[in-house]
Amino acid sequence: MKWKILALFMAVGCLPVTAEAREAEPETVDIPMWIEPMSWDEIRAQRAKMKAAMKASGKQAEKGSSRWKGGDKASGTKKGDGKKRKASSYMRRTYYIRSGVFPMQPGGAMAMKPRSMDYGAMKQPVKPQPNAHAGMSHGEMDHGAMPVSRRPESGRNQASMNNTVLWVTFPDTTVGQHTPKQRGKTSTVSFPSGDGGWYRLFAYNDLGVRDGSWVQLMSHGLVFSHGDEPDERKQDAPTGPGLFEGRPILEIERLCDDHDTCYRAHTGHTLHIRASFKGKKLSNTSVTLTTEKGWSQTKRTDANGEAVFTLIKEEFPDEIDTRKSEMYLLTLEHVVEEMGMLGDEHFHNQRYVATYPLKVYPSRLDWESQTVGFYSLGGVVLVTAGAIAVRRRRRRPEA
Amino acid sequence: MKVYRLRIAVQFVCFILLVYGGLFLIDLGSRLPTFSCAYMDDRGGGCFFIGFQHMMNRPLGEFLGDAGIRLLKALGIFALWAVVLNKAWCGWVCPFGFLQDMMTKLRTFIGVDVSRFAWMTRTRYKSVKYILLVLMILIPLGMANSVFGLPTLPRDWSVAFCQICPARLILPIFNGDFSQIYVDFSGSVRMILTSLGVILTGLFFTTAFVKRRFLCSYCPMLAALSLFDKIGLTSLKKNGQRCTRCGNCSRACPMEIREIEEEKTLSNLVTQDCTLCLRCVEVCPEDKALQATFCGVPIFTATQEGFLKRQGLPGENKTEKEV
Repeated sequence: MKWKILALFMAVGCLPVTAEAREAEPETVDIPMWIEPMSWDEIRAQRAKMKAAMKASGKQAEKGSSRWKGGDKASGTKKGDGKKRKASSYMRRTYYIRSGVFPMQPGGAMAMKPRSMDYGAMKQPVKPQPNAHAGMSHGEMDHGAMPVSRRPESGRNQASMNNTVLWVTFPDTTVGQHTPKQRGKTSTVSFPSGDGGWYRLFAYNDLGVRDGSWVQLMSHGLVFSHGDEPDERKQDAPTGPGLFEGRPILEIERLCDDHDTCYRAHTGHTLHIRASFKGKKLSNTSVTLTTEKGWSQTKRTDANGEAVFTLIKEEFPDEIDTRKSEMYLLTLEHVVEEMGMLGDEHFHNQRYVATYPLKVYPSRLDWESQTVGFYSLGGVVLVTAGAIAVRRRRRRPEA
Repeated sequence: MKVYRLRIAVQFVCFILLVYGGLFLIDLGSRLPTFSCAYMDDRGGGCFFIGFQHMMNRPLGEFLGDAGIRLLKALGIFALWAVVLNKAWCGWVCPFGFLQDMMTKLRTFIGVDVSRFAWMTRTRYKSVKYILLVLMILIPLGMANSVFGLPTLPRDWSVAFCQICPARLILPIFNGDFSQIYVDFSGSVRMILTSLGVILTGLFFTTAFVKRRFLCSYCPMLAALSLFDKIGLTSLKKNGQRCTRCGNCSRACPMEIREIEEEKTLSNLVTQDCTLCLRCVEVCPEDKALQATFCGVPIFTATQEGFLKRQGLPGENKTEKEV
């Protein structure tokens, strides 16, 4: 009887999911690329490693921030922005540019193996909680599972990062181009972030013709830096790879209701985005949000090219680590059925795959209690007011 | 002229400007030496302390580079504001000070008597604001630097002063935001700091019925501004020869500063607790005994006639005519 009720529950719980999945079937997306901020701990570790290597090689350790000032040695060339930006290492932001199948496997390794391969000592799958994730579907496997469909037979699960460029729109509205540097197996790029305000990031990688399609990968990001906000500076619309009339060819623009919404995403918040292709709003297009654990939800953009997602909560741990974030990835694919030639190669269509990565932190409601705050405040007021009244009454001279 | 009324009017305008200025696209920057809390959404300017704590959270070596330049620039702006208006920021501009004055008005309206601390008690706790100021420098530094090989302070100490500041809890309420009244249970440090914030907020409401501007006596902003007492362009001067030690000034002073009555030789009377509210000048019955100046030019001087007028008493000349 218990099993029947459970089965009924699951069936009812799955109905809307199935309906939505049928209605908005996710497009085939392979080899997405995304930008991911390097944590402060990683930056410090890297800096310490660099210093140690310098000392070991007998070179004089470069003092303080002099190595990073002005130029852009760490991240390659920068053009399109005439301003010389002075910034010490801490005033830089460093990003990984990753490619592969999202989500990654436990331990941070990229999910490179095809689905059919043995994953070895994989962790036990996390059971989906149907009531907590209304409207979200889950992949066939957990952790290593790939809810986003892909083509393992292609044998190319990671795109080459050689052609990648990163465009950064600085708070003063100027745009700078940065080239990532290959460090081991990862590709990193950094840019100065001394000015306060919002930095818009756009990474672009032209993969060329693959399986008859001209594949172009891109990723967007938005980051805020504390500090004095500079005045806006006029600059001609930048031109270069991945841009169309100064803007990304396929753009996922995050719409911020207020500063806090975009400053740091928490579970329970909404993610409001607008998709556009070559400056025109992209309506009725599938957009998929995938979480680090493999939950995914696909929606279609409305007539304005907009879509809204709720950032679901994946974990229910006993102890909350407020600093622990999880990566969520928004993926959008747009195919233009237009034949042509790219160099010597012929393509049938053009495939644009854009992502918007997002670090999502636990909801403030998990560790903050306004109820306790209000009751404590009331208690303090009552106790101190009572104490003052009693003290005054005792001190009052008797008539 | 009743300076008290003028001050309330100026405070009200500044309150609107700082709490709702953002709605009118007013931005006075984020280096203001006053509690225009950065947690308010519609603020017209930001308190210096939050940025200062963020800026101090750097390894010492980085202060030799751009971090040091940014810090110096921020301190320069703060110092400029402080030199021009001196403690008048506290007495005339601070939105949190204005709220305390309003609470005093409410207390007077209800008819609750005010209390005064014993002089010894006041002296004993005088250093609290300086200790808070020093901690505000040391805690962020301790987060980014290891002292004698000890581990650095955890990130939970981030903007520690803002966590305990009652202005963070109270001022956003005027933007319709009650969300700052909470206790953070993510860690013991956060829990203690936010609980302290709640307790101090409770004290703000109750102590207003006991003493005028109770929290100002422990405010590190007052301590930071008092560093500019001697060089501030706005000043309060006393002519000891004309003072009769009637005690009106110290009784009227919301900060209960006794030096203003007792000091005979010192000409600059902007003491560490003074908020330059000019209440003392207003109630002084002696001609030119007290004088507020800006760049050495008198802007408000105590006069016998003015005193009598403000007290609603007939002046000497008028009395003679009537007789």
